Amino acid sequence: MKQIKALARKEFLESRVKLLVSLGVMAAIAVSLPLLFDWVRDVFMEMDAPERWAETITTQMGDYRIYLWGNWWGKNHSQTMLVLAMIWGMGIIARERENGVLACLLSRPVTRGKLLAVKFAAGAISLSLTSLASTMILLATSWLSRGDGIPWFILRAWPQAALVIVAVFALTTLFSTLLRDRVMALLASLGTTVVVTALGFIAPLRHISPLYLMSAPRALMTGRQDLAALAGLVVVTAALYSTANHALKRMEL
Amino acid sequence: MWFRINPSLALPIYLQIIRQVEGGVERGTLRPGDRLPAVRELAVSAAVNPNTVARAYRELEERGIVETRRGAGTFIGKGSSTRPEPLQSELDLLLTEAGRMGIGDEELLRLVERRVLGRPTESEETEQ
Amino acid sequence: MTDRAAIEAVDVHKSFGEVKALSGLTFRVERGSITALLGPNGAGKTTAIRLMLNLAAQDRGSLSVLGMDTRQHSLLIRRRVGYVPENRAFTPGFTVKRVLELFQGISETWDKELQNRLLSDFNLPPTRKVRELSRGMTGQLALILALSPRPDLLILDEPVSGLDPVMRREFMRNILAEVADRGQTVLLSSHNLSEVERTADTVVLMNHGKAILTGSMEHIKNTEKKVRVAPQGGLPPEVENHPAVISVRSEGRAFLLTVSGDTEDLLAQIHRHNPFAVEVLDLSLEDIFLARSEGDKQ
Repeated sequence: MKQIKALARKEFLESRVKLLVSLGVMAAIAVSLPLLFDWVRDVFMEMDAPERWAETITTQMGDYRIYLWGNWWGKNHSQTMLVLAMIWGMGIIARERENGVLACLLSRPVTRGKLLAVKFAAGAISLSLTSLASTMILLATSWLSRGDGIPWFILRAWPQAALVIVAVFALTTLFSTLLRDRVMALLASLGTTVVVTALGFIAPLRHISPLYLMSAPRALMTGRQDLAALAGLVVVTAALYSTANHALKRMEL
Repeated sequence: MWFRINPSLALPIYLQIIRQVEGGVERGTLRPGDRLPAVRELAVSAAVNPNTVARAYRELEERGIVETRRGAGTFIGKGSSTRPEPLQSELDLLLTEAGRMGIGDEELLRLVERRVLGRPTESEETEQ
Repeated sequence: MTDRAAIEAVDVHKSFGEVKALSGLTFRVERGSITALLGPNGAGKTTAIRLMLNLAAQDRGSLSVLGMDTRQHSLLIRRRVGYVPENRAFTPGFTVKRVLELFQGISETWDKELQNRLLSDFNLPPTRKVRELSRGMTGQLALILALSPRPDLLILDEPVSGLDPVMRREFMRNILAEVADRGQTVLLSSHNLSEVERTADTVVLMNHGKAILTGSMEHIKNTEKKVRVAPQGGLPPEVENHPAVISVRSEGRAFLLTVSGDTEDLLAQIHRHNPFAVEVLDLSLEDIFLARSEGDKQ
């Protein structure tokens, strides 16, 4: 519909810079990871490291594939993308509510549901594409720097990781709708994510930890997608989104 | 044609328009056959409500001062009946004020006569 | 009877937490009229407007715009209403052109010719960024956005604030042209009483969340007066307690009465006591506004 096109265009135009910066940051991380592998290993090998260290180093660094997966999905990509998801989500409603643009838009024949849907979709798509594009850059850099084929297996975790990112984006969107201040929305979202991750250190609860989920261990080990995890994430995202939608419908401007 | 509209007067704007048209006809600055601006034109140029202008024009037509020809516009009417008596608006003000001050007709006539003739009238002389 | 009205409010109440913004607001705006919505700050004018557009919902009472209930048919209403808000906010980084394109995209109807004519009349540069526009220019842009969809009802909230007298006049002229051409209804909430007095045919004066005075401009100016009386003795009780008298103030040996309603009967009562002097003072819209807004406090 014409309205959706116009609103989508607005969202993408507004977040041009944010998108470029996100891609830039993630690309830098993606490029550095394969390149650093040899460098880090060499550095550690040259150091006078105690026995236990040497074992860990050999195990971790020895297997490039584990190194890649562990650092990309277990750490660098995941932590950074989670923060980006929160930054993208913090102002989604709160900023335009504060500066009056929201009231201006809603005085025209646009439904609140459509407005939120377009904003959310734009953000979710941007974040997912950033995640995918940077992963592809990782693969390309790995292939170019090591010359031993493209590590396609890395992509196995992407669907799950992307869903976690979208879920955290939905969480931040909810806070952006409930709270008037963008910074408060960011802090609330950050706080919630940290708490959930911390709880995830308790063994039986690890399935709720975003970082755990983003590392998609089942997908790595079995080569197949963890359908239960994916379904769970979809349900959580839907619940968060629909709560935000409900809050927006009742909001007084 | 420029109209002087003073919105803060108690006199409604439509009457102000009517009076200025009548005044123009009285003084001869508006002659039979002259075209008045269209409702939209006058509303926009004087920055007043088009409904107000329309009302003024309707009233002027009822008083026989103008006539509207469809498609052509509103024109000052021809014929002597379009020449209104002078000083009507000023007399209206005088009568309103007199009414407010509680001055009766006889008293009012006496005041006017005295002012016009510039000296006490016969009836006053008799009183003294 | 309701379908003749462009806006009809019946006993509307609205609170925001502790603050009661509207307490039984009742008024009508007739189609094709230019109605002024006046009142001191905090009277509830902006709240009333927000309810019309369903940006917020009333606690109690009914409110309909163009014959449709504001809560049930909000989308339909917003298709036919043009709104110039007091707080004119646009995406700061956008150019004028982009803002116009966005609003065109979200509106059902759009008269591009009218948009372009207004753009050139106002001399708004399409490539200028919104954050670089003066307050007056954002007002002009807001008017273009409100008029281009050719709405049946135009709601303006402090539209000319920030505009110099020339721009103000130009602004009003464009609105008057639309009223003349299409019989558009206009609800104008403005502190700029001189423009209001020229153009409005109906007045709704609000204070403390209610309409304290409504009627045609002509009627209001006929019934709201001040009367200065210098009585022989003190002020007679039939005069002081007359239903038309709103307030009394002493000025040395005379009394200044603020009067609303049947002035003729009051004057008859006054003359019965043979006062030294009686003076009836016509009031401008501003005088009426001040008298009624201050008078309320007593």
